[in-house]
Amino acid sequence: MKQYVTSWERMAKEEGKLEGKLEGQVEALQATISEILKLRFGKVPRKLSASVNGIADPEQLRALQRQAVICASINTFTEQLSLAE
Amino acid sequence: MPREQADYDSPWKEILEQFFEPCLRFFFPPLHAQIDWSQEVVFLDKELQQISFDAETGRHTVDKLVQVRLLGGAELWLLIHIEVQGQKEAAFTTRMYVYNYRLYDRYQQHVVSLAILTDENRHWRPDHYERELFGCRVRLDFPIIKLLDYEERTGELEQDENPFALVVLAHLRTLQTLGDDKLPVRKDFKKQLMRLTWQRGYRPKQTGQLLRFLDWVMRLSENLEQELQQELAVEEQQLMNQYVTSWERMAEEKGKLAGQVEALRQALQETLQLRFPQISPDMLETINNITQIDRLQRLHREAVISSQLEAFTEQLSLAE
Repeated sequence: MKQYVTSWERMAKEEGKLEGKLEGQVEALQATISEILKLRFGKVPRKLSASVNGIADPEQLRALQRQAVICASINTFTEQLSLAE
Repeated sequence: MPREQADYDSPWKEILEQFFEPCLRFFFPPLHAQIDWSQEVVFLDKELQQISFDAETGRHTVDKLVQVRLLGGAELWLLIHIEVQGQKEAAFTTRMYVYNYRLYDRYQQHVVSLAILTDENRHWRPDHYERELFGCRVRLDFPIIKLLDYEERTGELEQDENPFALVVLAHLRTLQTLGDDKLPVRKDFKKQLMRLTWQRGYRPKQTGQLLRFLDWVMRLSENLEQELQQELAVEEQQLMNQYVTSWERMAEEKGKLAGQVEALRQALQETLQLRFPQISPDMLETINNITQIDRLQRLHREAVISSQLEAFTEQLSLAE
């Protein structure tokens, strides 16, 4: 069975949605990580947030989010981060 | 029914709102002439939703409830119904009546109901609702537009400066080319209509909206679409790419929201599992129903700072 699958509109929609989704995930995860650290340890060094915000891989960010929840101190998190980089 | 039909309602919904004034000018000139177009046109989506019953029946419909001002200053409500599917006559006229009645009942408005019939059956022209019992009669007459009637006037439509003439033309050309064997003809129509749209010299925004409509409605097979793209002149391809980029951006906004929600749900579930391993799968599951970003953020903050799972659970039920 043939399908009427294509059109500029449809391709634009599909491509745009995928790109947007990735962007949204990355942004939300970056913000969440900084938020967790702030809630748990008070101040977060600017350099640290900057390196978190420099990561664009959702998988890596998810791992870091887990670290942010369980790490004992900002320093242990920073170590994990430099390992990941 | 052609399988493309499911795709028709969204483009019609969009184009009707974007080209409301030209639509009335095209189909209902006497009514159009009575409206004060310097006043704001308001789409009463919420009011319409209040009286809708399509959610229950699962039908795809295109209705727009619109508030305009007449030249004398009086307020007028219009209900424009675009009949995309071509349903049973009794069901259709009943629906027209019920919506008109419900709007009167709920908002005390004498609503002008109009119907645009887009189906392929020349003889299907329901234009009134009537029932009678022992001398007690109820009747609603409503103006209808049959798009097929414009078929003999396609030459005229091609010359008409009204953008809605192109909308009608796109629909007629689509109806004329249903079936896989006719798609090559549709490709040529599509190219012609794209060019007509460019030649009109509308504002870029309007041009983009029209191109989006006809691209949306005049679906082709993948091969033919590629052929069409190659047949366009270089300048035309560049123009088209600009529009595609803007559509991509529109879709990106939607996708971004979905991505944020998904990531926040996952983050919340991860945090909860790490901090409270005893948490029940059911509770984790309920998080998948939350769609508001700010609520997810609030709950996540709670999940990080709560010392006991109970404190979080309380927040979860409170916020609901």
